[in-house]
Formats: sequence, structure tokens, C-alpha cells
Amino acid sequence: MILVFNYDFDLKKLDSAGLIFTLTSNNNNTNVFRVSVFLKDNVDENILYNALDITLNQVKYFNLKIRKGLFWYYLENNNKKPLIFKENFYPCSFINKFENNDFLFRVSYFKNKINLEVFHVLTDGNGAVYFLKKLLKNYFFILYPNLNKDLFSEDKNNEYTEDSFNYFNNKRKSSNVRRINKNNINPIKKFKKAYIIKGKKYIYPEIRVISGIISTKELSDLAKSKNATITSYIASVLIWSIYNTNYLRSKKNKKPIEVVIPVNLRKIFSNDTNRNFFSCIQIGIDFYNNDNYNFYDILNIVSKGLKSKLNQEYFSTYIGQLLNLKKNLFIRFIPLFIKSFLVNKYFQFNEKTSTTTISNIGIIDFEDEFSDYIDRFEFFINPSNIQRIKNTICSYKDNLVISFTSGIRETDIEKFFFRFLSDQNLGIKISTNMGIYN
Amino acid sequence: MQFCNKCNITLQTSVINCPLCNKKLIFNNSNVNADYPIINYNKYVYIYKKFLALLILFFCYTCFIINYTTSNSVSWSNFVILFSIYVYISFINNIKKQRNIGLLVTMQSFYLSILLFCIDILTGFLKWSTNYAIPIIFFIAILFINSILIARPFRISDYIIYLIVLSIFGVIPFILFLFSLSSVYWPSILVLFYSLLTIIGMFKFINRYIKSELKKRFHF
Repeated sequence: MILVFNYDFDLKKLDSAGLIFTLTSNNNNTNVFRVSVFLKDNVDENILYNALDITLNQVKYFNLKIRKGLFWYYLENNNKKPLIFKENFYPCSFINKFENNDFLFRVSYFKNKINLEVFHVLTDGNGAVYFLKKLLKNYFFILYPNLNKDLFSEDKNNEYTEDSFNYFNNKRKSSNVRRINKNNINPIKKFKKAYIIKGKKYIYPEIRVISGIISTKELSDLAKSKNATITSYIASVLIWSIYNTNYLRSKKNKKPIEVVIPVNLRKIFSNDTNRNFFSCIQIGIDFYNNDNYNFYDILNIVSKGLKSKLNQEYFSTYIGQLLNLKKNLFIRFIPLFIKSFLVNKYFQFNEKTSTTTISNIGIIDFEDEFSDYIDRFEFFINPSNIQRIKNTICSYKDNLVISFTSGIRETDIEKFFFRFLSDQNLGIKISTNMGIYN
Repeated sequence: MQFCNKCNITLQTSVINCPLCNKKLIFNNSNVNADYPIINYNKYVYIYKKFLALLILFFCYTCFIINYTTSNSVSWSNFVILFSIYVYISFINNIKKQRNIGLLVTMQSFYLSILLFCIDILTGFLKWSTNYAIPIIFFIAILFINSILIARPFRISDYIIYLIVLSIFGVIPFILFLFSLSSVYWPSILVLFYSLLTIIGMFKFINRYIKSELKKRFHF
């Protein structure tokens, strides 16, 4: 008897970062991020649906659903049709697989905006931007048939790729391990609590978004004049804002303000995967022991910290240590529900070592032919129960968007942050999702 | 576009107050500029679980107190408490695992078996649960999943694991019989026979699928 069904025989394991995201996701920490694009004209739902259908056939690694095994989660091909939503939910809210035909991403639209929300298990910001660019190209291709056809040619193979963390680690092992860790770097630090932002919390799924649109050139020139990069400059302003508002207002502060900065490892290791491949740098400022720090001291510390850690040596040791943990036989054979409980508790505990996250997705480069149709891109990551405010940077052409996603009602950090930038003679346009006319 | 003098910023979206300093801003332009929709949602949806748990707990407690104060022997409140726990677990599970009938049937057959077994013990262990109820529940569950798979073979990946699990657990009534926990042999033999038939059938007709599914579910 021959049975022919749409059955996926391959075992698609999650990547190393994805494993952690599946185990730690809940309503308080959804692990969903959003990349939005603002077009010049209103979005046509039918064309968007057709474009999404075409894009899913081109970019196979988005056409997946998640399954539970006894020891780990894994991925499987999804045979259902994708859905398009009219935006009627808060950014980065949980992606309910039952309401979304099992897909791990969600496409929605509102007026002239297209949102792509992705569960971090699937890919990181880089992979999501790649998918969104493909979707936009297909959308424009249907909408404007007169555009040059060469713009829509396939550029690379997008089959489900190997876990880059593993690939990298095998390479590291085959080379000289001692040579790599010659400076005795130990990136996995001992547990030390960081300052946690205080405030009156929103109830899930409410979150507040405040984005500031700034000229990329102006901000870049400003950062350069201070011998800093945009990331280190914005990170310093953020630390300075937290210190001057939330930190000084609360009593008995002995803990440092620690900022986590995710780093795209593709550039550092010249690897071009579409799955998760990033790592984090943590930079802390201890205001308790040095209360006479000014902004330029902070900028100096952050710039130096970033420079010293942004190298292969640091990340190779970091990934190596994490992968050793994953390959531990004892951990591998713990049933999933116990593992989920333990890892969740550990990460809740571990999250207390950082105050906030600042994620720079970088410059989104898109063919000049499309610039007449696109206004700007925005990028958001979900705030968690402990990191109650998170900051993101995203730039397209001369529109650099700095976004705050916040789980608390107080806006003093954002106020100080944007007023500080405004005092540097930067023109700022603010966009928000609370207290708006519609 | 609106402008906040205090913060020295321009507003991209049309707002009532400045999002930073909360200062009231004048809006007299008919052209509303919004980047986000106004979202209306029911806040109480997210606390229904806690509310339900509290309600059931209160109900059980009241029953227990009434039972204890009106008669010295605690009897009928046990059944109420057991049934309440069953309803609560089923309800939560139903909400969470909506739309996957396979999982729902598997979980319900377990919950119902445990509930009936407990009731049997509370009523003096006459073995009616192990003799008839549990074997019949498993028989119906396996039959149900089998029928679904035959009717909707293209959804094999959604149901195959539950058929495997239920077929393996179809042996339970026979084990109960071996340990003298049940006294009537034919229902347990019937389920055992049907389970074995299902397992043999699976390996005969969908061998590749079974092997692949087991490999995926048990990968480490």
C-alpha cells in the first residue's frame, strides 16, 4: 500500500540560540521582535497576500512550524497557508500558533505600514530583514509591473541551513584551541545583580512604543565628532538617561547599570546563514563607587568596552562555553518539561544581571529603485518582566529610527533621552502608539 | 504637524498629549496621522484562569465545610472536589491545546480514567472502573484516532504520535488484570488485541512515517 502525504521526514533541529528561546518564552517575555516598513502609499491586502505566498516559496526557512519532542523542540515543514492580519494588537505580542496556522511569524498591515513579527526561534533580525525585503520586492513586483525585472532575480540559496554556532565550533576545535584563548578570556561572568528599572507596569499584552526619527547623517556626524560609533553613542545616552532619571529617583542603589548589546556574528566570522547567529556584549557602569561620572566618561567606557570585545577571540570563547553546556549529556537527557522549568528559572535569574538591551539592526540597504515607494523601517524587540525598557536602532537612507519598547507607564527615561539628543541640535520626530488620535 | 515646545520635538503621529512630557498639545488639523491603531481588548481575558481557579477552590471549600458540619463522616464532598479538579484541568487543557483533537482525546482518556478509578476507590473498590470503564475509554480513544487518520490521512503528522501513545497505553488494562486489579478479563484482552493490531498495522502500512516520527520525537 502506497501512502503519499505531505509528511516531512527530515529532522530539523533548532539552532543553539533557538533552543533557549523556545524554553524561555511566555507572556512576560514573548521573544518576538517586529520589523516594520512604512510605505509612501496605503497597503493593498490582496497584493500583500499574494506576495507573501510567493515569498514563502522562495524563502523556505520561514515555512516551518514548531513541534515538541521528548527532550527538545524541533521544526517541521508547514503545509498550511499563511495569514495576513489587519494590525489590531500591540507590537511584539505573543504569536499564538493556533490563530496563525502554526507559523512562527506574523504579517500584519495598517494604513501604509507592513509589520513582520518573528518568533526569535526562527531567525534573528538579519534573517527577518532578508525575508521582509523579499516580501517587499514581490509586493512591488505585483503592484508596479513596469519595474525593471532584474531587480527581482534570485540572489542566494535559502534552504534550511546548518546551525552556524555548531559549524563555527567544529572549525574552532579543528584549529588550535590554545591559540584562540591566549588571553584567558572568560566571557561568562559570575552572577552579579544589575540595576533594574522601576516603574508601574502595564498589564500584558499592553506595551508602549516611542520612536524617534532622526537624520542618519546628523547623528553619524555627531557620534564621529565624539570619536564614537552610533551604537556606542546611543548606548551611552541611554545609560546616562537611566542614571539621571530612574536610578537617581530610587533609593539605596548599589548595583551597576548594565547594558546588553547583541552583536551580529555574520560579519565577524564571515558566515552568511539565515538562522540565528548572534551573540551579546555586556557593558556596565558602576555609579555607586564613582558618582562623579559625566556623560563623556560613560561614552569613553562604552566605546572602549565595545572595541575590546568586538573580536573573534571573545566570541569564540563565549560560544564554545555555551555549546559545551548544550552538549552536556546530562542536560540532553532531561525530559523537556523539566528542562523547560529549569532553564526558565535560570534565565529569569540570569536576566537580573542586566538592566536593558540596546539592539542595532544596522543600515537596511535596499535598491535605489524602490526608494520612491519606501519611507522608513522600524525595529522593535519585546520588553521583558525584568528588562522593562528596551531600545533599538534601525536606519534606512537618511531616516534613522531609535525605538523604545516599554513595559512601564513612566516616560522619564525616553523624555531625558530624546531631550538630550534634541539639545545636540538634532531634529527629532516622535511616533508613538499611546494617547493617539485615530 | 504638532510640536512640543518643552521637549523641542515634532510629532509624527497625531497625539492628545506629548508622549514624553505629557503636556496637552493642540490639534486642529483634520488630517490625522497615525502609525498605530487604537487597540481595544478585554483586559479580563488574561485573568480568567486565576479567576476560575479561585472560583473552583471556593466552591470545593464550601462543599467540604457544609459536608463536614452537617455529618461527621466526609463523603459526598470528595466526589465534588474530584470532579471540580477534573473540570478545571480539562478546561485549562482545552483552552491551551485548542484544535488538536488528537492531544485532546489522549489527555481526556487519561484524565477520565484517573477520575473513574478514584471514584471507584472512594465507593469501596468494586472494580467496575478497571473491569469496564478504563478498557472501554482506551478502546474508544484508539478507535477515534484510527478513524480520524483514515478519514483525513493528509494530517498524518498531526495525529500519528497520539496513535502511537494510545496504542502503547492500551496495554494498561491488561497489566491491571495481571495484577488482579480487575476481575473481568475480556474487556482488557479486547483493548490489548486492538492495540497490538494497531501497532502491527502501523508498522505494516506506515512504517516510514512511524520510524521518522519516533526519531524526531526522541531526538536528543
